[in-house]
Formats: sequence, C-alpha cells, structure tokens
Amino acid sequence: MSKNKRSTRRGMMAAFMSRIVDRVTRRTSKALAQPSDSEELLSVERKWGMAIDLDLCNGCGACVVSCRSENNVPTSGPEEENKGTTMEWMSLLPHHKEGSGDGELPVELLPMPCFHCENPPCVKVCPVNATYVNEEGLVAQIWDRCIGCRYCTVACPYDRRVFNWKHTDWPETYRNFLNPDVALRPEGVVEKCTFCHHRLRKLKETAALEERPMHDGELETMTACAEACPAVAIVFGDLNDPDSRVSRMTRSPRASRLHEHLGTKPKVSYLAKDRKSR
Amino acid sequence: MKHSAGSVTPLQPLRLPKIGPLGIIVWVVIPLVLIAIGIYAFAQQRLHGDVVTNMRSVGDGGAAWGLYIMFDIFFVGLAATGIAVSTGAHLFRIRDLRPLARIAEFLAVLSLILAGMCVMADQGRPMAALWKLPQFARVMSPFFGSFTLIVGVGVAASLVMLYLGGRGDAAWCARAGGPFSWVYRIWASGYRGTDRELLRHRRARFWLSLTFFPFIVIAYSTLGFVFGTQGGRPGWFGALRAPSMLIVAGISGVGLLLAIAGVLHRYLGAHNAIPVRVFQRLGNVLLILISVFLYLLAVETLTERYAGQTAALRVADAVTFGVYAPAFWTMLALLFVSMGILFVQFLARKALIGWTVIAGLLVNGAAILRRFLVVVPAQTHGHHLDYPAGFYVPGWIEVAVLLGIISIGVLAFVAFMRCFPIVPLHAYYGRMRNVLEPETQGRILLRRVLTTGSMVGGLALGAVGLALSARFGTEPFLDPIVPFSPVIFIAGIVMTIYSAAVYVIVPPG
Repeated sequence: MSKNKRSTRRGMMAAFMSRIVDRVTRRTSKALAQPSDSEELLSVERKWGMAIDLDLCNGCGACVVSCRSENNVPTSGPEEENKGTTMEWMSLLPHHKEGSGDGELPVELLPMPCFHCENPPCVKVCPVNATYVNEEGLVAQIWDRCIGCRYCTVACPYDRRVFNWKHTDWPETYRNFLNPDVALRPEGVVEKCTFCHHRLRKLKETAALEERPMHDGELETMTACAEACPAVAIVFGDLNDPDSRVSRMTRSPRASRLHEHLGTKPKVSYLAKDRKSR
Repeated sequence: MKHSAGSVTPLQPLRLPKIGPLGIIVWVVIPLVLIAIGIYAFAQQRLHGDVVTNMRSVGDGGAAWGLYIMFDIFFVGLAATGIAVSTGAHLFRIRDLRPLARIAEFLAVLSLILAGMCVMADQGRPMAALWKLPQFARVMSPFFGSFTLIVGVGVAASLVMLYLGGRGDAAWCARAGGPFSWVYRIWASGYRGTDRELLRHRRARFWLSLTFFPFIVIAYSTLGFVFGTQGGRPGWFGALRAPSMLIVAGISGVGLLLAIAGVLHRYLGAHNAIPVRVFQRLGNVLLILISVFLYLLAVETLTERYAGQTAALRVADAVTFGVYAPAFWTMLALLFVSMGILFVQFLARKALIGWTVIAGLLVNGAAILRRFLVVVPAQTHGHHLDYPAGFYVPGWIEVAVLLGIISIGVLAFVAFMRCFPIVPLHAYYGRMRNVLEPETQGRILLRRVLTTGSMVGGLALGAVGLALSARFGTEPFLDPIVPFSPVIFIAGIVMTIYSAAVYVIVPPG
C-alpha cells in the first residue's frame, strides 16, 4: 500500500516536501543553536581577485588553451588572426620593456584575463544592463540580453572584451568535448572572461554541502588558467582574506595593477620580475 | 501680397516640377537600385555575421565601430541643426529662416530615422536591440541619450513642428485636390486659417521651440559624451568632445540647408521665397561655425601634444602625420576652401548662390571626414597597452548598406517635395488672413484644460518613467524596476511635446 502511495504523484510530492521540511528544520535548529565556522566563513563578503607572477610565468600559453577549452571559446587560427576576429578570453599580450638588459628579452608576455574592475567602464556604458557587477563583485555578462552594440568593447581600457563576429560551427568531433557548464554564446554578442564563475559556484556548492568553508588552497587554482599554469604563476583567491595567497602576493612590493591612474581599480595584479633572484 | 483663404493659387511652382526620364533615373531608379543592393548587403551581414564587414575587434588592429556609427553621428547632427534652425526661426523670430523652416523640420525627421537605421545596422543583434532597448534601456548609459532619447523624442518633436507648421499649407493642398488630398485633409483637419488660429499656432510653436531648443543641445551633447566620457580610450576622452561635435553638427546642417536652399532657389522657382540675404546670413553663420570649430580643433591638438601622454600622442600622430593624415588634411583643406568662399562673400557683402552651395557641400565632406577621425583612430591607435596599431576602411557591405540608407532618405525627400510645398506658402504669397473668429469662454477653458492636462500628465509620466528606469538612490547598475519603464519615460516626454498639438487642434467651437 505504502509502495503504491509512494508511486503516485501526490505521494512523491509529499515525500519530497517532508524531506525539505526536515532538512530546513534541522538546519534552522542548528543555526539557532550556534553559528558554525563554515557558515560564518560563507557569509563573509568576498572580493575575488587574481595575481600573476611574471617572474614565474614562462609564456607557455597553457592558460590561453585551457581557458579556451573550459569556456567553449571557438578556436582561432591564422585566418582569424589576419582578419582580426580572434576570440580569446585569456590572451598573452607582448609587453615591450624599456631599458631591459643583462641578456633579458625586450619583450615579456602578459597573461591577460578580464580584470573584473571595481569601477568597470564597460558596465557603466552598457545600454541594456547586459553586463553588470554581480553580488560577488565579478563583472558578469548576460549573453542573451546583449544586443551587440560593442560599446563595452570600445570602453574597456584594457581591450579585454571580444565581439562574436561570426557564427561558430563546432565540428562534430568537438561537440562531445564542449563544457556543459558553460553556455554557448550566440553570434553577435560580446564575450569576456568570467573568472570561471561556473567553477566557483560548483566549489561553493560543494563546500556548502560538506558544511565547510572554502579553503584558500582550492581557490588558488580554481580558474582554468590557474589550474593549467605549470609554473603556478596565476593565483586566484579572496582579496578580502588577508591570509590568502592572492592577498599576500598583491601586497608584495613587486605587485602593481595596470593603469591604476584610470580609476578602474582592476582586481588583477601583476608581480614584476624579481631581478635579485637572477 | 495678401490672399484670402478662399482663393486657391496654383501650386505648381511650390512643388518639385515634373521630372523627365533623366530625372526619374537620377532621383528614383538609382535610389531604388541602391536600396535593393543595400538590402542584399544587410542580408549578407545578418546571414554570415558582422565578420563580412571591415569592422574588427579593438586590440586586434581593428575598429569595432566604423561607418555606421560615423553616419549615425552625421545624421543626428543634421537633425540637430534642422531642429535648431526651425526652433530658432520661431524662438528668435528670425524671419529670414522661416522659408527654410519646413526643409529643416523634414530634414530633422528624416535624418533621425536614418540615424536610427545606421545604429540598427551596427548592432550585432538588431532584433534583440529592438526588443531589449525599450525593455531594459539604462538612463546612465550615454547610448540612452544618444539613441533612445534623440531618436525617440527627437522624431516626435520634429514631427510636431512639421505638423503644426504645415497645417495651413495642407489645407491649401486639400482644396487643390489630387490623389493625396485625403492625407492633406487629415493633416489640416479643423484648420480654418483665422487670425486667432494663426496666433495659436505661433504661440504653440514658440513654446515648443523654447523647450526643445535646450533639449536638442543637451541631447546632442550626449552623443559627444558617448566618446568624451571614455577615460580608458585615449583620443576620445576630453571635455571638448561634446561642444566640438555640436559645432560640427551645426556646420554640416547649415551647409546642407544652404545646398538644398540653393537648388530650390535656382532650379525650382523659389527665388522670391528664399531671398539672397538668407544665403548671405546663413553663409556668415557657417563662417563663424567653421572658425569656432577650427579654434576648438587647435585647442584640442595643442593640449594633446603639450601633455604628450603616450597613448593620446599615438592617436594624434596617426591623425596628423600617420595613416589617417590624408583624411585630416583633406578635411582641413575643405574647411579652408569653404571658409575662403564665405569670407570673400562676407567682405563683398553679397552672396553668390552657386558658390554658397559649393561651400555647403564641401563642409559636409569635411564633416564626414571629421566623424571618421573622431570614431576610428582612437580605436585603432588609442590603446593604453601594447596592442598593435591597426587601420580601418569600410568594406563593400558597409558602404552598400549605408548607400541604401541614404537612398531611402533621398527618395523620401524627393517624394515629400513632390507632394507638399517644401517652402511654406506664406513665403510666396504673404500670410493668409481671414475674419476674426469668435471663441466661447467654455471652449477657451476646454483648450487650456486639455493642453495643461496633457503637459502635466506627460511630465508626470516622464518623471515616473525616469525614476523607475534610473533607480535613484539604489545601486546604479540594476535593471529598471518595471520592465519597459524607459518607454514610459520617453512616452511622457513625447506626450508633453504633443500638448503643443493639443493646444492647436482643439476646435474653436
């Protein structure tokens, strides 16, 4: 009889609701009793940021490839390069150095994700609020709302936004390897790095389920670029946590942010090459 | 020469005369062919993506905004001048400008529609733009002022000006008959041509001009803010961007008005209606505007060069001595030649229509080049980081789409000229007069109540729409509280503008 009852739609609903009520009651009583460390930590206001140590970076391009693969960014070849329609959320920008000597190359490569500025010019100009600062301080993008006016791409001082110039026909063999956690963007919208927000969400959910705080260790290599970096030059984390590695790197005397005078307050810091260590 | 409203004067000289086979080819067939090519090119752009244009990613050596945005600014500039001429004629009672008021008003409506088309052609997802912009338009984005506000409100206000100014002539056209007499009858419905009615028209247009004149200056300045407020884009950032764009808008608008007026004067028998002194005075205005622009350009260039900031200097170098130098020096040459023509006429205290027309056309060429130099070099060279410098020239798709858009404008202008007096009839025949018309106190009260109600209601609606869209006092970057509240805001302003028409069309009793 009970089996029959459970198999009916009403029975299933009742069972589902009782489980939810049970869970909520258990959590509420627990919360009322004493807030756990994990909950306290989860409620802390986060400020996600990134630090890139140029002394460790060897310019291998693993970050670029992993970003492309993780976020379903269409591949670009010489044709796109020549046409100027390359799609890259993370790119390596050759940076010409002045006064370099001692056998050093006059050019260094800067890994360039979106800087998720605290005062983002791209967000200010968007006419339909398709790009916005989310509750975690990340500059997010609603693909479906973007009208493709490209105002954000011309407003970004770091040129870190890319327009989807053409429809991507994913080859059949590629389709099985696309990341199901990241939506495919339609043609005619602007794209950008999201600091692998989908991974962050997954990490938070896992931590919440296991009722523990997120550890700095797992955050450090949370983004695809940081995970792929063989030299551990890219570090992600919470800038509000003074003990996190990213915070410590950001406080280093070698650290600086690109074009701070523009008032954009980028959340990505670069650590210059350490000449003493050479 | 005074005429009573009862007598109908032949309208032939007031409209575009019948055009021969060559005229049909030039004014009808060629624009139609260009429109067809433009539609094909736009279809290609939609089918294969914006990759078929020559626009490219900023930072990849390209310009993400190109020909479409250039001509959006150009058309909005023409519209701004059209509205300024029309409102100026009524506000400052400049009688010389009145014969040109209708051309200016129609040019404003048309240019704004063409500007809207250019913006839509530029969007990566035009259909989404048509749907999302009214739904989520953010007041804080300069795009709102430059597109939603100018195109939405500007078209409404210009239409009201055109409607009010054309009612008398529509009544005449309705009496003259013809295939479109039903349109004229609707346009002129309730019009009696009485002194009191003319007074009402004048009053309505005066107040409309008074409110609209500053509006167009502010609204057009937002187009300058689209570029001038971008601190991250060297070559764009600067306080002079908005005033300088306003002046160039004036130059291109006055230039085009002079060219059109010259053609009307010489070929369409409007020599009585548009006296030579109109050309003389507008020519002087153009001379002043060019001088002011050159001053602003000099100030801008000196500031950039003196400060010597790397990225800004890179843009300045590309413009003055680099890849964009031909455009820059051609622009200057065109301006100086026009200035020379106008200055000689100023010294001689007379205007030669042909030369004035040439000057008007040359400054428009210069204005187009100026738009190019504003929009493009800052994208290809204005990088704070070490991105490679690039270059942009429009591709055939963009050129074809643009020519199609311009052809729509040409066709519409020719059709309007063919169907309606492009120069107001009173400019030919003097003002129409009729007996004084008694109006009851009740009717006067009704008129006032309806007008005030429409105006106050419009203002209230606009304020509510603005509060709902802008979300004052909350986080700045959020959606409107109620979807489509930007439409409520614009509808409120449009309703306020239409109160001028309400004031005029309430029948006297």
